[in-house]
This record gives sequence, structure tokens and C-alpha cells, in this order.
Amino acid sequence: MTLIRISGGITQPTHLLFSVVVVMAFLYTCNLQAKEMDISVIFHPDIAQQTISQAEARQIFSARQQHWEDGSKIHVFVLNTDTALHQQFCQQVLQIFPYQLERIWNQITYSGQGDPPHIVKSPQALVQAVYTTPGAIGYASQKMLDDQQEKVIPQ
Amino acid sequence: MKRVLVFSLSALSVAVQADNFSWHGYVSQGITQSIDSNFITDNNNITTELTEIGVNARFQLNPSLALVGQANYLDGGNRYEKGGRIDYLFLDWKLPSVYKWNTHLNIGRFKNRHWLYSATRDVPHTRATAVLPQSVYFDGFRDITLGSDGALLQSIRSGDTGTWEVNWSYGRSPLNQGETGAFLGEGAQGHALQDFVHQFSVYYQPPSLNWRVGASWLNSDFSYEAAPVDNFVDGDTNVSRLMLSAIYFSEFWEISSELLREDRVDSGGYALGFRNKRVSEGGYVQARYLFTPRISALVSYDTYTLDRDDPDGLRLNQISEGLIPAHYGFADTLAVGFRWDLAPNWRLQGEHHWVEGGARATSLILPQHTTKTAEHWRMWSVQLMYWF
Repeated sequence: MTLIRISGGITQPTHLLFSVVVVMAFLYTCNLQAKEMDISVIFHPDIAQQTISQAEARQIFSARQQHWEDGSKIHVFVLNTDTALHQQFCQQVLQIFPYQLERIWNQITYSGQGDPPHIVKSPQALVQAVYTTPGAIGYASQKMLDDQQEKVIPQ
Repeated sequence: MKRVLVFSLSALSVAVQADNFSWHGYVSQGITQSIDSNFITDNNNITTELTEIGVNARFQLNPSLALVGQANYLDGGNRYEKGGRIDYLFLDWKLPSVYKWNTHLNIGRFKNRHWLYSATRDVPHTRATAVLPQSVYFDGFRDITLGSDGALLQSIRSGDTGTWEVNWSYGRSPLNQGETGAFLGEGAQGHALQDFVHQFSVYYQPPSLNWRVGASWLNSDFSYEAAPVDNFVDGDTNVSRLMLSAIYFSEFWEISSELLREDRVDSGGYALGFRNKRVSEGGYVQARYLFTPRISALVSYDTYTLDRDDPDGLRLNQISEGLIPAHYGFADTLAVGFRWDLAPNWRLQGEHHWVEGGARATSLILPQHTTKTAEHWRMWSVQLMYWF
């Protein structure tokens, strides 16, 4: 698994010098086509965990896993289910149909097992939310991260 | 400096509270009608008695312990008792993981997690149809099959070979007068009690996640204490249910099915020395096609036989000396439905059911019911729902 660490603010004021750990998740397992988006799982920088398996990503994005290993709350941020990026993330990275994921969220939320992901309105808002929320996890297209003029430090 | 510190603590408190407490809810209102049966409405009336309002909350006491509950108000016409109820209220204790098995112990009024849709049958937007397949999800027993007072243990193990889920529970449920009537008949003046319900289920889902299969078993004892003036006498009933469940997901199709066999032994109740054994069978298959992520249609077929040795109900008719029509021995239902997600968290859902038989249309089998459900009858509903 490739790890890329990004420093600096995306649209943040300069005093928020967080770093965001971006996991280029599963690129080698998903066999993405050139035309498809490269999608990355992104974490809030305070999260100690730096790798994530597909099974674990499914547990987290389906809301079945609600806490990190240190006991802190996981805040999952996603886009609306009918957006192209969310659908590609579900099918390429999680390898699950978006409606299945929504079904699991409902089951967990309305049977008292946990909270569903927070839905945000735009890819920019998603990155911003992950960036500023302790315990957060989300996803972003590599193109968007590049467009935000991030400086990538290879591992 | 002090002011800044106070502000910071206050902000922290809000953040902690937000992290530890969450709540969600739903509001749904519809119109509905049952035609040639009093299953939903009397006298073929079109009614707005299709209201569901609920709020659930989860308070995380620490990373491994949470208090969870839901209160709601329901009006389903004649299908179940109208009014408010606490559907579930339990302590959710996350036990230490053992060999990658993640286990939760629910203590209190827990939710039934043993069947495909049992854990969310109370939530309008999680149901495929307003009226679920009655062979498995008989509305007359909605409250006692939604959950029980006792303990539930749920263990889940996810890995490269798939996901296994094992559930065990033991508890009991209070029966309201409607459910007492559903068990014995409307004339029951006494009090029915569920002595216990013991359930176990196991499910498997492969790594591809595109299907899930499982089996569940239930055993329950009920007792009835007759009122001083009553058409019934004291009695006991044992019910055991074995069920197989499967669901398949593809990009545009979702197909699910559950098959059941239910053994019931009655002692007393209807008369001193009365004893009756019967085996009921049934099940459903339903398919949903997604035209778009927001628009889908459903077709389902549900069948139920009250006594597998009397599939046409002829013996039922005979032993009741003609008072109970033969069609009360079975129920076959064909249903179609549509779903349209108007906007995020808003849905319009409609359905139409064609039913042959009355085995699930009323509780049992008392003469005063017999004219209320024709052999062929219909029901439909349209619901607008919002959730948050």
C-alpha cells in the first residue's frame, strides 16, 4: 500500500498547518482503468493508523466500525449517494453497490448500533471536513487533491 | 486568559457531547385501504391511518458501552395497536474482541436481529413495502417480534473469507390486548403472557458482499389466564419456528427470500382438555429493480398455509361446522410497488397487494371474523416519508 503524506493547507488559513495522510488505497488491487478516477482514502492527521485494508475500509465506511483502535470516535464523511465520485468510490474501492451501503447505514442507524456517515455537499467540503475534524476519514479524487496544489511528499 | 480557557472548555464540552450523543428519526404519513377485508380498514374505507413517527437516540457512555433507545407513535389501522411505544431501550456493551470476533451484548428491550428485515421493520424508509410479507412478518405480532426484554448477543467476524454473523437472544415480551386477541381470538377477555422467546441465527456473506444467506431458529412459550367471564379457559402454547433467509445484490437487481416452518402446540385455551398440533409453512420471494438510484420497482409473492396437512382449509371448515370458511386456511399474496426518492431523505413509496385467502388477515379463526375477509381481497397504500 502506498502512503502519501500531504503538508500544508488546502483552503485553510496558514495557522492550520495540519498534515493530511492520504492512503492511496487499493490502487493495485482495484486494477483501475486509465479513464477512471484515482480515489484515495484520506484521514485526519491525528489518526495514528496509517494503513487500512479493504475489509477495514468496508467496516468503517459502512458504519459497522464506529471507533478507532484507541477508542476515539470515527467520523466518516462521504458525498451524496448519487454523485459520481461516491459511486466510483463504492464500486472501485469498497467494491460494494452504493444502495447496499445505504441499506447498511439505515440498518445500523435505526437499530441503535451507531451513526451513519456525515454527508457533505462537495468534494472540496469533504476534504475540508476531514481536514478539520479529529477522528475523521473520507475520500477524494487524486485530481482534486492535485488541483488544490498540494505538495506531495513521497514515502 | 481565564475567559479564553472557559470558552475552550465550553467548546470541548459541546464537542464531547456531540461525539457521545446522537439522535435520528423519521416521519411518515400515507393513505391506505383494504378492500373486501378488514385487515387495514373497516368497510372498505380509504384512510390516513398510516402514520409512523419515531425518534431514536444513542448515548455513548464510554467506547464500549452505550445506552440506546427508540420511542415512536404508530397508526396502522387494524394491523396493530395504535399509539406510542418504546420499541427498544437497551445497554449496548461491546465486549473485547476474541479471534477477530467482534461481539456486542444488548441488555434491556433489545431488537430482534435474527431475520432479514426484523431489525428495521419499524422504520418506514428501510422497508421494501409498508405491509411486509405477512407469512414471516405478521403485523398482528409486530411488537412481540420486533424485540424482547432480555439479552441479545451478536458476534461478527469479517475477514478475507467473508463475514460471519451469529446472534443469540433470550427474553420475553409483554402482550397487549390486541396481540392476545391475535393469538386466541377477539373474544379473549383474559391475559396472555409470553413466558420466554429463545432465538438463534447465523448468517454468512462472501467477500464480494453480493449475497447473504442465513438460518434462524425460534422457540417460545405462551400462557393464557382466562378472565372470570371468558369464552376461553386457561391454556398454554408452544411455538417453534425455523427459517432460511437469502438476499442477492447486483447493480440493478435485489432479490430476497425467506422460508419458514412453524410448529405450534396448543393445550387448553379453547376448551378444557383441548390439544392441537399443527405445522404452518410459508415464505416469500421479492425482487426490486433499480431503474435509477432514485427510482425502483418491486414485485413480490408471499404464501402461507396455516396447516400443511390442510392446505385448502377444508378440514378447518369442516371442524368448525362451516362457520370458518376454507379460505382462512391459507393466504397467497402478489404485490407490486414503486419507490421514488424525491430528494435526499425524502421518499414516496406505493404498493398494491392482491390476496387470496384470509389466514393472515385476522388473528384466528373465530366465527365473528369470518364475514370480514373475502376469499379474494386487495390492499394498497401510498406513503410520503422523511428521515433524519
